[in-house]
Amino acid sequence: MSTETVHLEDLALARACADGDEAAWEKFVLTYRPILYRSADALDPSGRAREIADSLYAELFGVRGSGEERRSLFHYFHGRSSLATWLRAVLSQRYVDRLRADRRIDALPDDEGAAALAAPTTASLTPDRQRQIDVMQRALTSAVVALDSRERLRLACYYAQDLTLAQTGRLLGEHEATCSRQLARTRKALRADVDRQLRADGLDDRTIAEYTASLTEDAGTLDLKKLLGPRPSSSSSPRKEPSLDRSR
Amino acid sequence: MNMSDSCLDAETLAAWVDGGLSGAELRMVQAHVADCARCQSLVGAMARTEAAVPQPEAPHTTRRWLAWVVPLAAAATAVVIWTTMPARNSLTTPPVTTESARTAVAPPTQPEVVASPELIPEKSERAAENKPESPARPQPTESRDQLAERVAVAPPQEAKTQEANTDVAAAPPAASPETAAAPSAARAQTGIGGGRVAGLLASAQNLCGPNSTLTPPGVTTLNAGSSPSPNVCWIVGRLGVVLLTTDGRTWRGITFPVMTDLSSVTATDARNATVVTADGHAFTTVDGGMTWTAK
Repeated sequence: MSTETVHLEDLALARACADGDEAAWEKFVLTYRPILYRSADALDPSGRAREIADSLYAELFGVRGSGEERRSLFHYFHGRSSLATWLRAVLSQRYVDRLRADRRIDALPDDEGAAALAAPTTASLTPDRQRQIDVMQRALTSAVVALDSRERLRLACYYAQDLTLAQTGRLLGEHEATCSRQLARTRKALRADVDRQLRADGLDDRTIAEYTASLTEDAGTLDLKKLLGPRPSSSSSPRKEPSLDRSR
Repeated sequence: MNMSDSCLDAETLAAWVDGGLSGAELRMVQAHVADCARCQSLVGAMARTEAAVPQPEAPHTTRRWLAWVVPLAAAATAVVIWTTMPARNSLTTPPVTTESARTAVAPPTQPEVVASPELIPEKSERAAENKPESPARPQPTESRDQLAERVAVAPPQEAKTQEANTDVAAAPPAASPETAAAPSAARAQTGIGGGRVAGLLASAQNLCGPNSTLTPPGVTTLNAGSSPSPNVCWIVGRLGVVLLTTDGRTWRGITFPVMTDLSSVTATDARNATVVTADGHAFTTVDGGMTWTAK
């Protein structure tokens, strides 16, 4: 912490707001309310995130029930980032958690419903096509698991979360040109690893090319976010050796 | 916090996004997010909100580089137009080329730095305003001398913009005398423009109502408008309602810092505007409503 930059001005404003200083509150509302609302609109134009932004105000002010001590959310800001970024982070956190909570609730239909929803996808695939997808998914999952954390993070940010090269690069502490080169290298390495696994499974080059072309045309049920999500534990991982050829 | 087990808290996430993490903590954060679906979603959400924060101006070197590029591009455009003009040996030419030539020879304006992705459409729309009219539209012909004369006397772009600036205040004059005086002066310049703002104001009025996503419930009237150019119009109303169009058709709501009734607006373009509240306070924006400064 000692070597980090502390955003003193923002920290002073937050402390003053937490202490109930009216002038500080006026400045906060004038400067940061538009940022908070624009962030909410960017997250969800339907207005759902605005509700969260509004509720944040009450917490920032530290509203509590009668008899309880007032504790402002500002007390959790320690100046490690700008106040604007911290507000965006709190808002994003609340929004993502609400979405995930809603999804968990939505994802509990009765078994018949779930089966009915899944049926058309499965039924529409021919056995050959399903086998192609299974084989490729297994190989791709294994190749992604073998990547190191930085490579997985770069792929997740750029492909799964749709960050720009510049945004991805900033999170990884590298220039966007470097980020672009590294992504290209990782793609090439993934492809080489998948090919190697498929050959080890007994597929010839023509079949591998056919599978790859087919998957490129239609990814089917392959979900990139799932592939780049939680890594399987070591014991369940099919293969752990990092065998990617980084020289290419 | 054991970062490998628990998810990022808001402060750590914000510090990471602002480049405030280093060393072992940064590596732990990166390792955790690489394997955590929730934190990856958080990073994605944070990235989507990035445009909400006004970006600092680009380094001076970029502006200097652009300052060289803009006149060069204008000169190149002029050469292309000159060499591709139909019937070069003829003395007649359609006036559509005049518009193009006027654009080409107009003094280069200061290049704008894109403050946020939200503003990019405005830039392209503003560029579209300067496009020549469709050649299919029947126009009288004029000689090259007439053409040269018209190009020579064409007013600079800024003067042209000023001429088009028109304000209409439907509400009683605001407390600020300078702002309150602006509408009538502008109306005196161009009566047509005043009608245009009135039309835009009327069309924006339809955006109010219980189902509106642009105005809060209870806002049924818009108070005043300012249209600095044919497609740009700012309109203000009750409860901090500020609307802006940059294409003369679609409107977007601008977040105003104070939830109070607004009585007048004076704008010079899609980025610069001054809004006066009913109790006489003036707020100015220089970035299309991203940020406001109280005067």
